[in-house]
Amino acid sequence: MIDTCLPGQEDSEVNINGCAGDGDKSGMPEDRNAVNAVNDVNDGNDLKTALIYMIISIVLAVGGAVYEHFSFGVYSNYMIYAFAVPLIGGTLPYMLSAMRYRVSKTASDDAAARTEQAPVKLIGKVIRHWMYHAAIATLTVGSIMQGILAICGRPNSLVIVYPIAAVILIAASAALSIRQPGHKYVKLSASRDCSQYKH
Amino acid sequence: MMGNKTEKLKDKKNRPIDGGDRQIKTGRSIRLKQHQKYLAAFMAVLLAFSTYVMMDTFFITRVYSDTETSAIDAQEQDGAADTDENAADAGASSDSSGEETQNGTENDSEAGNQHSGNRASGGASVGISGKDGNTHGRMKGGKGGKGHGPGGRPGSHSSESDEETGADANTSASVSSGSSASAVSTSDSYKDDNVSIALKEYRENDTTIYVADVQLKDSSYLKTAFAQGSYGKNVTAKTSEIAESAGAILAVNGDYYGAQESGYVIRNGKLYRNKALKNQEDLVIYKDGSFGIINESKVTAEQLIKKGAVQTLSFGPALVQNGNVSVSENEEVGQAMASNPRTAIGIIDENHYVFVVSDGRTSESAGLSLNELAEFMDGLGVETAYNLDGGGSSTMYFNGKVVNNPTTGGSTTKERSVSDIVYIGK
Repeated sequence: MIDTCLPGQEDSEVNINGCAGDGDKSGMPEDRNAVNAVNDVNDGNDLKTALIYMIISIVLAVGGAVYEHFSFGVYSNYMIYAFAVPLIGGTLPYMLSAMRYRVSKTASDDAAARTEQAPVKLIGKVIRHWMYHAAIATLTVGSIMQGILAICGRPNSLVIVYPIAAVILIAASAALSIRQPGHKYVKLSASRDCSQYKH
Repeated sequence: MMGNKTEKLKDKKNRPIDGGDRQIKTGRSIRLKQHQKYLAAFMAVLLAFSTYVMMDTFFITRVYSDTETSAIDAQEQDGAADTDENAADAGASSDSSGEETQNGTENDSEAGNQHSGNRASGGASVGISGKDGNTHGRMKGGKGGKGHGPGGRPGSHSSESDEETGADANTSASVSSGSSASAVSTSDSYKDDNVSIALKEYRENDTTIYVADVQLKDSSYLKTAFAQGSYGKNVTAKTSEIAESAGAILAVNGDYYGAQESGYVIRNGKLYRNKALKNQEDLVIYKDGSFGIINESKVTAEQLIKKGAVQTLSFGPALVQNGNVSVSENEEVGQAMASNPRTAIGIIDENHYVFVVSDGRTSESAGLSLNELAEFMDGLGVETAYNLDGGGSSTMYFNGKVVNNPTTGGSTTKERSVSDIVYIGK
């Protein structure tokens, strides 16, 4: 992992921060290898996360099919499609993110990475926040619970908590991600002493 | 905190990166671990909450006292005559077709009459009305009506003639004398001055079906009972245990009200739950013993009480209405597919009922679909029939014994605990 030089900089993933903060690249040489290194790590982490979500989706799909097989024909769409939550909410965005890093690594001009659209960047931050993972987990568990209760014919009003909590978590992760200072990962300071670049 | 660790930067393939050393801030990795801890803590909370939801749904017992339920004695309601009631009745009568399914509407001229108890043949339709003057349970009289009674369905029953009803030469008949009358009881029949029950077994659709034909002198012998004598959530007991406690001659499982959070619960004239379930079809048993099918979205529980309802069963769907099958071949309870054990209750005639339970989920009995059950009930000659809780709950108790093969936990033959029963008492 490549760290920032500045204390207090939130960087939960392996984005590289310029020592001088966002946008100020004066006097700092480009370090293409470092950029590629970071992108390699980003790409690897995203793929790893996507793979984890994929495994979860597969387990849920298989589990739902087995449950339905032994339920004497009683079924619930919530149980059948529970696998779709981690698949769409986890595997898909992380796969897209991994592909994005690969594209930027091979871009002839790093400016392409620098000028990445803000919404895309925001989404990238949101899905990397722990609250987003918590939201996906909540929705998945909620779907399974609803399926079990529907199959048993035992409704419970408490299951409404799951989607409400998930929405709150996603909103919180988005809000916190917006507040988080932007990080560009295209330049590194070659200097050992970053104090001159402190905010 | 500034990092206190210096190391060479390397790329993914572990090659040193040009640019010299970099200071690594350990604080960042600490924050990462903090986030992982937050996520782990959240997952623990999620797991705990989910466990609580499961416990609340299946295990945590809540018994509601009379003060917690809006227990309204039907007698108190009947005694209260006010303009509101008249206004409600006037509105209800004009809208009764939407609220209740009535067994025939062609004899509205008789609506004001109390039922005569006429069971004569001839096919005359008798209008049954309560005190409010509404017709709410019409039963075709005697043999002129559709159907032949349990013994008359051609080619489908093991007992071919009515003469065999109640007369089982292979079992001894016990005679008991009570305060009311002496009762003659065999393994498949019971008869006293007030109650006559004949039990028959049918074989249809690779399924064994048990039919109890019940004729009462008074509808007050048709009752319901709660598990453990208490109304509440997850308050359950086996059908046989509830029946034994209640002193039942014949009993079947009810609508398992305890599994639901809404749906009217009126039992033996008392209102326990008035929270309506949207578009839920209920069976209403009135004080005069007649049946009605209502939609909870269109009538309140209090209105039902005022109309003389003494029992409501909230499961469904209605199988037969006005002598016609009212379920399609593709209709099922909830998400359940075709063949399953079933429980149903129907009315043939005034104070003449059938309790039906079918086996299922076993190699001996495949079970019935709702349409098959409805067709069977129609073949028994019922005017109105209603589906009760099925699957592992389906249980028939008669003369101290469980007569069918209830399955629970899959195909294991074992009685399931339920929250309520419908029974014939002494």
